[in-house]
Formats: sequence, C-alpha cells, structure tokens
Amino acid sequence: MADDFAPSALDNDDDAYTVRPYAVTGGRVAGEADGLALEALVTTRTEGKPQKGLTPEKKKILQLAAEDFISVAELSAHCKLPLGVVRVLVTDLSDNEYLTIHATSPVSLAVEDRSGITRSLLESVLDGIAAL
Amino acid sequence: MASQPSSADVTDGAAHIAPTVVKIVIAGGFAVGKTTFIGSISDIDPLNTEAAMTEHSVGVDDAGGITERKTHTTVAMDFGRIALPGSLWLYLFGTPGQDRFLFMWDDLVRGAIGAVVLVDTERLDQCFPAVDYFEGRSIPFIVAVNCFDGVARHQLDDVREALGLSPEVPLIYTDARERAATKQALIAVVQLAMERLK
Repeated sequence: MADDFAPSALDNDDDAYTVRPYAVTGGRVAGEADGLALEALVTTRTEGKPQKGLTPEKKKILQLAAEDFISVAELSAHCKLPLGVVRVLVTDLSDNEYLTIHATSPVSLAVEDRSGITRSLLESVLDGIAAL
Repeated sequence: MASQPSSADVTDGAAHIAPTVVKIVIAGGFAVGKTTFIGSISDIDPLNTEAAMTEHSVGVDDAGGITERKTHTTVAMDFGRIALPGSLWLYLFGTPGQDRFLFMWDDLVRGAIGAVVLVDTERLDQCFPAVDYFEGRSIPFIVAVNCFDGVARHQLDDVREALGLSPEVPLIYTDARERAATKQALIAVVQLAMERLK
C-alpha cells in the first residue's frame, strides 16, 4: 500500500463510512457517470501525470488500475466505496486524463438492446465455459 | 463492432489490448445461494460492492402522526470474474436479494448475455420478482433449482407449474456448491442466448 495513502474510510472493515460517501466526490452525484457500466474496465495511463492534489480515494483507484485492467465494480469493492461514488471518481479521472476507460464491453444503455451480443461472441463464451 | 477495441484504446500507452467483457446475472431470492454459486466457479473470491442510496420512508410515529424521513441504506451485491480463452472476461453479478431493489437491476442487466434465476423450492415465491423481471424485458434466462442437500425434493414439472413458467424457459437442477453444476447452468444460459439470435 502506498505510503501517501492516508488511512481513511477506505481502511474500515465495518460498514460505516467515516466520511459521508458523497463528500468524496465533492458533493457531485452521478450524471454522465451513470452510463458507466459496472463491468467497464479501466487502466491508469502511463504518462506519469503528477497525482499531487488528488484525493486519497482517487490515488487508490489509480494505484489499483495501474496493475492490470480492473472493472468499476472491482474498484468499488476494493476501495469499499459505493458504486455511484466510484463511477463519479472514475469519470472524473478519465476526463482529466489520469486513466482510460476501455469500451470493449458490448454494452448499450437500453436494457433491451442486445445488439452487442453477437453469435461469434457467444460461441467464444460457450467454448470458454465448456473448457473450464 | 462493440466487441472490438477502438484504436483510441491502444494509443494511450496501454501495454496490451483490453479484454472483451461479458456478464451473466445470477438472480434469486435472499440467501438462495447466489454468492455460493458465484464462488464455486469464479477465479477470484466473490467481491462485494455497495450501492448507497437514500430511501424515503413513510411511517407512523409513536404519537400516531405520519412521519416521512430519509434513511441512508446500502444495497450489497456480490460478483465474481472468470477469465476465458481469447481475452474474454466473464463477470457474474449477483442481484441484491430483496425485491424492493428491483430498480437497481437495470444497471446489472444492461448488456448481459442472460441470467440464471436460482430457486429454493422451500421458498418458491422469492423468485417471482426475478422471473417477472426477465420475462418482461425479454432477457434470456434459465431457472435453476438449487438442491441444498443434494437431493431434489420436487419434480421439475411441479416447479414449472408453480412458477407459471412458459415451456421455452429452461428449468434445471443445480448445486450452487459444485463447480460442475454451476458450469452447466452457465452453459445453458449461453446456449439459450444463442438460440434467441436465430
């Protein structure tokens, strides 16, 4: 764990937040961030942009996403922050070019829209599961 | 198409191309074995994430007056991940157990291949909201009867009738603790999704 990551709400194992969740986002709630899929993968950009001034929560996300591709849901679990909060933080970090959101998921905003789910994709998934 | 990474993804220093992500939703009532199911086949120990929300609740206070207050509550959901050949990551998302959180399901279901509805025959009614939800949205789903003690106590035909399931909905036995059984359930969902493409 990075030394500059101050013990905070993130280190609590109980369910209580020592910081009210939306204090972390500066009071913002998801707007645009709502469209970000739970399973969307992100990675920290490698240009080494200085992280000075970022909140501990944002630093933690960048640290987690530096190792490998990681989903928004996993970031939420590892940071012990609600999904809505992580969505806002990730969208923010992406807007400010700290990390990249990889849109490789066949995701559409309409629940009923299944256009991204192609036969070849399903065949690969089926073969993959069968080989487990 | 959407499953191909765009050129933007590889120009910003990412060392390799991002995996293609797919997901299957594991639904069912409270304590029906969703997390056990996910854990039986996931590469990672099931993780838990929360969606915090503010609920408006209306109640009657001690003095008999109607009170309205906001309560901060969290909805937990468990999920797992399986890496498949060909740089495919399959996520399994468990739905929050209580049906009063149905509105959150859109988030989980968006872009999903399909769903497994886990059923405990002792508490059949608990899966009604899930069945209704997926039927209403034309999401491919199968119903899997979780045999807790390894013994099927109910004939599948009886379960189908009790749930009012149409004949097109696959209904199988599963054992959420057994990798081989959960694997078969996932295969059944993907096969159903493929049939729907025809």
